[in-house]
Amino acid sequence: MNARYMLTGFFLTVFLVSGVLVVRRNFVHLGELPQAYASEPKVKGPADAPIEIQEYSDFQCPACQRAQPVLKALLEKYPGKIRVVFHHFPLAGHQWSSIAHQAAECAAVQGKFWEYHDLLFQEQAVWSGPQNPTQLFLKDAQILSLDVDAFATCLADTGIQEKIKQERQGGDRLQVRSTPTFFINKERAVGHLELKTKAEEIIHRTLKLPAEKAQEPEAAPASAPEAAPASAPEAAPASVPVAMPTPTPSTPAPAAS
Amino acid sequence: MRFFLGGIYAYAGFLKLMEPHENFRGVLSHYEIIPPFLLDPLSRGLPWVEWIVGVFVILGYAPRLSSLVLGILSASLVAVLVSSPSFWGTAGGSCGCFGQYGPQLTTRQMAIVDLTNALIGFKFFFTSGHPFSLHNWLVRKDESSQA
Repeated sequence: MNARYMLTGFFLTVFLVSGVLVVRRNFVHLGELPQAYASEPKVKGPADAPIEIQEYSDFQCPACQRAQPVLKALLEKYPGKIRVVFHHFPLAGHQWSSIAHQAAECAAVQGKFWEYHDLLFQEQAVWSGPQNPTQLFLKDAQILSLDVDAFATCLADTGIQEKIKQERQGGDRLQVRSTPTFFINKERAVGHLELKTKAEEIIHRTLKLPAEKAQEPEAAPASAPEAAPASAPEAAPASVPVAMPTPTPSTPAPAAS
Repeated sequence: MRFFLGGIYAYAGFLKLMEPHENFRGVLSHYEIIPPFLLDPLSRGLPWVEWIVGVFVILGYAPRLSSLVLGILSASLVAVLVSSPSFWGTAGGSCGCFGQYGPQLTTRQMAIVDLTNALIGFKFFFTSGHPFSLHNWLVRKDESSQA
């Protein structure tokens, strides 16, 4: 290869890099994380907690289920220091996801979101099967002493569906592409494994804890049977775009259901 | 086939570069064969390699070298996929939790796609002629300027 050849490659590389940077700067606009108030039903933890974890999750996602013991362990390890905010992010590929999120939101209307949330994840293996889980969700409402008639009516409420859709679109604007995705004091962590490592690092930094080796939170025993170690998605790393294409910024997000 | 191989990687790399690198890092973190200290450099650097080398392959710039790079990359992906429990059907649940855009392939299907890409990449490395390539144009230009 002579000088002309090398220079061509150099300028081509500069052009390609610049192109990406220009497109990113001008056409890619990340949305803002929503403001969460402690009084909201899908928020738990004190309003003045120094650590805020916003979670975009799908109730039918095994990886999201595996994240719950990690979150629980963090809350137990740092009591009063963490506020958790849940956002609906149902994925179209999960058959019963929309109705599960609808049920959770209906429980939120009656002030028992987190209890219903825990129940959904605990029973995920049960209701994720081929059968329609509506009856199970009604039974869960009864177990939690909710007004079952109001709950049943709520399950068909299009206003609730719209609310969930808007939360989902909020996640799309933040370029949430997979579940679970967490924003720990606005720093993104994708997957339950990243949550484990990143949360401790951010908590130690924010709370200015002694510089010991950050201990991983001991995950509380999962109520649901433990999935195999890698409840990783079957999608490969996104280097294979056929398997996992990610949308261009202008691509509208598909409907959640 | 050169356009196919380069196109796939350029497209994948470009899309990843349009997103926060943590998204890709989250994907990589699930493949336990990848050591944690490599997650950050890979999630930041690999999309650039895919994008730039993918375009090089499409344009036919340094075709043998760039095809080799993508061939090695594809082969590495096959190794990562084969090491994953989901390849052997021992992972808990079929998640589909990583995005929902485009066709959802199983781990084995993706390994086949990556294996195909690897074979294409290695084939081009051993190929001497590369029609419609920047390489040929540059070589001809160099020969005519020397004549």
